[in-house]
Amino acid sequence: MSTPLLQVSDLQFAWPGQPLLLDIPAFSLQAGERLFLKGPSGSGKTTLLGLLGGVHQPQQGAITLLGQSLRQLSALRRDRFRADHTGYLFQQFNLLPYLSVLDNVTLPCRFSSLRRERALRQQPDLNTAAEHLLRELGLSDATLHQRSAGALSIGQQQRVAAARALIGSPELVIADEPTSALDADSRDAFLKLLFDECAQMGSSLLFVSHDTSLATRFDRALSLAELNRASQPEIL
Amino acid sequence: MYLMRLALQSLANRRFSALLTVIAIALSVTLLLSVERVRTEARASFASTVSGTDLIVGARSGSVQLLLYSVFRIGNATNNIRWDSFEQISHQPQVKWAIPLSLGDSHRGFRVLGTNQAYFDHYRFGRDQALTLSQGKRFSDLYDAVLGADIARELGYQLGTELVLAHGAGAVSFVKHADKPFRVVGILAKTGTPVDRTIHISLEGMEALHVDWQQGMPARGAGKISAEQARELDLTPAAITAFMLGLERRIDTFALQRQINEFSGEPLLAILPGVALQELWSLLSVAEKALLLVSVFVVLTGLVGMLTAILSGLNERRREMAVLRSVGARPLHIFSLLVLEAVSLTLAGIALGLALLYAGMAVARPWLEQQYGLFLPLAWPTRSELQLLAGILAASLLMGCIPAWRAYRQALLDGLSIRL
Repeated sequence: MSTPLLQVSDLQFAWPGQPLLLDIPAFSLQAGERLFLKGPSGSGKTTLLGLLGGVHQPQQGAITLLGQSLRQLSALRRDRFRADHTGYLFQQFNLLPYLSVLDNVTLPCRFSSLRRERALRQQPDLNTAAEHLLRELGLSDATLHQRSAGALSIGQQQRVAAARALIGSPELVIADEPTSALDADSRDAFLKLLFDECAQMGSSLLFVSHDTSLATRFDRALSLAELNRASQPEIL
Repeated sequence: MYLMRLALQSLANRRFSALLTVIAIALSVTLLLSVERVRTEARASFASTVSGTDLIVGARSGSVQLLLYSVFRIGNATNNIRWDSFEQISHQPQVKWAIPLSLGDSHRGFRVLGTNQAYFDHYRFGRDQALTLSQGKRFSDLYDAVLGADIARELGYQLGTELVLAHGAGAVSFVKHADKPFRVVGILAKTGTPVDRTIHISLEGMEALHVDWQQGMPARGAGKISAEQARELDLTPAAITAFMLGLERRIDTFALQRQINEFSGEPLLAILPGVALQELWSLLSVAEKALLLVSVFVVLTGLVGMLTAILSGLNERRREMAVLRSVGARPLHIFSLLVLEAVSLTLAGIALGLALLYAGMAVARPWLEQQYGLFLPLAWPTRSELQLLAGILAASLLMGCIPAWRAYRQALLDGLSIRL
């Protein structure tokens, strides 16, 4: 088995002045893998995603992405590393409403030159790359692309957010409850499109959700509650 | 730069509050620049009230007082100068020309100045500008009067108008020289100096008005001398109020000044008009500096308003910052974004403020020139104005760091996602 894309070992994390929130002995994600991680709200999943993105630093343990230990990087380099290799997709409202759809999709390429290069490897310019992705995700109407992102329906917004997470082919796509605001039909359609695109881009997908009915469609499913040895507060 | 575009688009999204902020800054900038302009112009026009005159001589009093009544026609002399003192000093070899000034009468609130032809030949104002007549000619007859431009305009007088002078300087006088009316023979071109508000007559005319007066009261009955009878008399004045001197060589100024101040005939005072103008201006400049200070504070208020607007919006924009972070923006980008926002708002405010200033000046210019003799050129911003504007921009840059720092801290804490 090759080295995993993402590896977490002996990770411990607590917010200042609070009890241990996360204690994860081992967790890994293979290149090209689609992993479902079950995590109800309050289970520390948002914190875990922050740790994987290098926004927070664990007190103990190591997080290795693409063979690079995040701990060894400065805060500035961690930010760069994240921008280069990770695409994020959140629950809702994760577009900038004052930018057009196209500008929203190309945003990661403004902050990561690596992702800009990769996007331009296949397409002559960023807008064409964004349009291509949006078409693949079922938003083929070109007039829609020029509209401001705030004017779109939630289903459309999530597809735009997916296109943004995928542009420039990041090795890892982290999705945090991206389907919770969608109805069952559009959720299934959205998942299929997301899977197809991740496969095309060669990106691994870490999908966090509380909705276990989705788990069967992934390569592998884990539960954060089982991974995490830290005792959980009962209700949050 | 992409961040600049983001900042502008984010501002455009909040255009109403952004517009209000820009307007507040613009108004304060307009106020500051207008005050600066009027201040500079007032100082310049003040300094150019009289030029080319080396010494002003009057009865011994204070130099500012002498300047006020001889040049600005404000206040009165405490004492007169004897005519023979004037004769004696004006015939000194260093003296090139001398203008006698005789004050004390008025016409509907405007001062009357008795002088001679030397006034038209040698009086200078501004940058060595001579007096010119816009209509008519200089006085030549005993009862001729030459008006300053403002008087002709305000009172609607024309060539040939007859006017009765009043004794004393008040706007309302009960003692009038009704028996000896004067006729307007000339109107001077506008100078923007007190000359515009002065009625000029000959020294002899001034003497004729008072020739039959005794103990400061007009003669009655048999003692009265009519206008025509006065023509037959010797009208060389016994005394004048002050006089101006131009010298052959300016280097003699101080020597002659000392000589006059030590004049044995009567106590006299000679002043250098430039020095006295400086002295007077330094009295007035306190008010002028206070005005500038107030407008600086108004600008600061405008900037604090901007600061409040940005700061109060920060909490609503935490999601925006988190989104930016999740697409790869570093905390430093967030910081720069907010500083750019503050600077853009201020730049827009300055631009709008300048536009308002020039529009306002274009409208108010003729009025200011007519009412106050203030000539405001529609010129590019001067160096000191540009310095003020650069100062405002620098202040906005510093102030922008406050919300930027808060957003920076917040972005570090919030991370990539935020649930509100």
